[in-house]
Amino acid sequence: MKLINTTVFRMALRFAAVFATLSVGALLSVYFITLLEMKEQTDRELKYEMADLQANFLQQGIESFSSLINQRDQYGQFLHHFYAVVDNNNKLLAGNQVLLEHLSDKPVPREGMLLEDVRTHIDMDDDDDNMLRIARQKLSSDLQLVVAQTQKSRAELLEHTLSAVLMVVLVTILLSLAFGVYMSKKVLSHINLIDQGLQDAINSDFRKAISVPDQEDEFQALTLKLNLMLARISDLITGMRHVTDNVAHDLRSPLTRIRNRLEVTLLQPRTENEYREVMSKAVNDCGDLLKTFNALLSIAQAEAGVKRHDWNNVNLTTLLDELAEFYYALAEENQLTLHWQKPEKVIITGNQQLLAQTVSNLLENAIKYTPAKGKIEIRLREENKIAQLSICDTGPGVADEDKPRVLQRFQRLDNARTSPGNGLGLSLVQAVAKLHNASLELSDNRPGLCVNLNFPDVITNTEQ
Amino acid sequence: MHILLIEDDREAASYVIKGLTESGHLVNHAADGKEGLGQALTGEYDIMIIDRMLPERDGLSIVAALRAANITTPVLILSALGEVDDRVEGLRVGGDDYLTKPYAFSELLARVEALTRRSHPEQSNNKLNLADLEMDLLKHKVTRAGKNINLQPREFRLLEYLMRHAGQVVSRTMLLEQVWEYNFDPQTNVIDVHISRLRNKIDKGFDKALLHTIRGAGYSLSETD
Repeated sequence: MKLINTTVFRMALRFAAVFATLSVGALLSVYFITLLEMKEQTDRELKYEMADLQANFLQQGIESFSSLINQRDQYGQFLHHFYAVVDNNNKLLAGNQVLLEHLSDKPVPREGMLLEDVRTHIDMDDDDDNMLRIARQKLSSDLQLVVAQTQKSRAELLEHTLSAVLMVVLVTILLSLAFGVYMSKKVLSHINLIDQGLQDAINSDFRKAISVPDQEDEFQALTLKLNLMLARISDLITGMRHVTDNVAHDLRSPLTRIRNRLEVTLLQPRTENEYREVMSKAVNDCGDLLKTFNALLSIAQAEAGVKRHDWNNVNLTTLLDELAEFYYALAEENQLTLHWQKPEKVIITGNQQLLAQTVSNLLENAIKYTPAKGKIEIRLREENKIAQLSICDTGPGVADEDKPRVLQRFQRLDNARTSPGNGLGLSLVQAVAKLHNASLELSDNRPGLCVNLNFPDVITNTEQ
Repeated sequence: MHILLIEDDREAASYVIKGLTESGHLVNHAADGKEGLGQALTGEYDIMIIDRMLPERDGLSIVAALRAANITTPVLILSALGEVDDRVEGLRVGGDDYLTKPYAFSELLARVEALTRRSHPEQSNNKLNLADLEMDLLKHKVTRAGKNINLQPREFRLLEYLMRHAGQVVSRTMLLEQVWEYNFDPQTNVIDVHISRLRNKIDKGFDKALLHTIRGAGYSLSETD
C-alpha cells in the first residue's frame, strides 16, 4: 500500500495544512497590527518632538534654535531621526540638507502637522530604502520645522520576530509531516502484515491463519478476531464442500436410477401392469429422495440457528416419555426391549420439535443397528444443573477410530451400507446439540454404543 | 369439491389441477396473488390451496384478508420455506394446514380431503360410528359389534383421528402431526407398527377389515375395501 493512501499520513497532512494556514493567518494579522501600531507610535513621537522644539523656538529665538536643530540632527541620525528648518521656499536654514530633497510641494497647514511617507535611503549605515516619515509644521508665518524618522529599527525588529516565528512554524510543519510519515509507516507495517496474511488466507481458501503479532495491542486483538473469522469461514467451506460432494453422491445415484428405470421402460411397449410397477417404484424412490431433502433442510435449519422465538421451556422428561411410548412398539417388533426410567421433570430451554427429532434419530439408529434380543435404554438425569441424556444400545457399537467419522453428513460405516437410511441422522443430532450448546459424545456401552448429550442450564422449578 | 388453487408456478399448478380433477374435484386456478384474492373473495369455494410466495400479493396476506372478511373456507398453505416458525406463522394468520414443498401429490390430496371434512363437522360430537365400530368420546370407550376393545391413550387418539376422517386417505405425516404432534418424518416404519397394532385390536377376529393400507399414500378407515 502507498504511504499517501494511509489514513494516518493523510491525517498528518491535513493537520500540517490546517496548522500552516492558521499560523500564516496569525502572522499576517500580527504583522499588520504591529505595522499600524508602529506608525501610530512614530506619529506620537513626531508630535511630541514637534511640540517640544516649537517651545524651544519660542523661548530661544531663531539663532540658538538653529544651532539646536543642527545639533539634534547630527546626533539624531544615529537614532534615524532627522531635523531641518526651512523657509516657505524650501530653502534650508538649519539642519539636514538631504532631508530637503524629500520635501513635497504640498502646502503646510497653518495649524497642525503635515505627515508624509517617502521611500529613501537617507540612513547613513544602510543602502536599502526605508520608509521615511516626514512631519512638517509652521514655526512662524515664514518658517517651517521638519522632523523625520525612518522606521528602520522597528521594522527590523518586526522582521526578525516574524522570521523567527516563521521558522518555528516551518519546523513544526516539517515535524508533523515527519511524524505523519513515521506513524503511517508504523501503522502501515502492522496493516501490511494483516493485509498480507489475509491475502495468503484468500489464496489458500481460508486454510491459512494470519500470524499474530507479539505485542499486545489493538492489532493483535484484531488479528485474533480475524483468525477466528477465517477459521469459521474455513469450517463452513469445508462443510459445504462436504455436503455438495455427498449430495452429489447420495442424490445423484437414486436420481440416475429413477431416470434409467423410466428410460429403459420407454424403450419398447410394455403391458399396463409393467408400467404400473415401474411407476410405483419411481414414486417410492422419489419419496426417499424427498426424505433426504427434508433431512438436509432440518440440519440446515438447526445449523442456521432457528429463530429464538421458537424456543420454549421443554420438559425433557415428558418429551422422552412420549418418544419412548412412540418407539416402544417398534423396538418390540424388532425383538428389542426399550428401557426408560422416568425421572423427575427436567426442564431446559430449546426447540421442542428439533429436540424430539434428535432423540427420534438416536432411537431409530439404536433400533436399526441393535440385533434381536438386544436392549435399548433411554437415560435422563440432572446433575449440577446439567441435563444428561443418553441413548444406549447393545449393538455393534462404534470403534474409537470411527467415532469422529460417524458424525459427518451422509457418513455411513461399511456395515451400515446395506440398511435403509441416508446417513444424516447423527449430523442432525450434532447440529441440534450445537444449537442448544449441548456437548455430544459417543461412549462405549460394553457392548454397544451410548450417545450422550449434556445440556447445560437446566431450569430449576423455582424459576418457572 | 370446488377448489381454488392460487399458485404462480404454472407447471406445478397443471399437475396439481390434473391430479385433483382426476380425484373428482373441480379446480379453478389463479396465477398471482391479486387475481387469487379476487376469486377467493367470491366465496364459492369449498377449499383453497394458496402458495405462500406469489407475485402481486403474498399468500399469507391473502389468508389474512379472507379471514378479516369473515370467509372461513378452509385454507391449505403451500410453502417452499419450510422452517418451523413459518408453519406457526401460517397457521396464526388463519391457515388450516401447512404443507412444505417439495411434497408428494398423495400427501396434498389427503390433506385437502381432510380439510373438506373438517369444514363439515359431524353432528354428534360425543360418539363416532363406522359400521359396527363405535367410539364414545366421553367415556373413552371403543366397542366393535358390542365387544369392548381396550386401547392405550395414544391408540385411542389414533383411532379417533381415523374415525373423524373415515373414508378418506390419511398420510403417515398427517398422523404424525395430528396424533403425535411431531413435525418430522421418522426414517423407520414406526407409524406402520402402531397402525398394525391398532388393526390387531379392531379388525382381528372380525369378518370385515376396516383399517386399510393405501399403497404409496397412507391409510384409510372405511367400510369398503
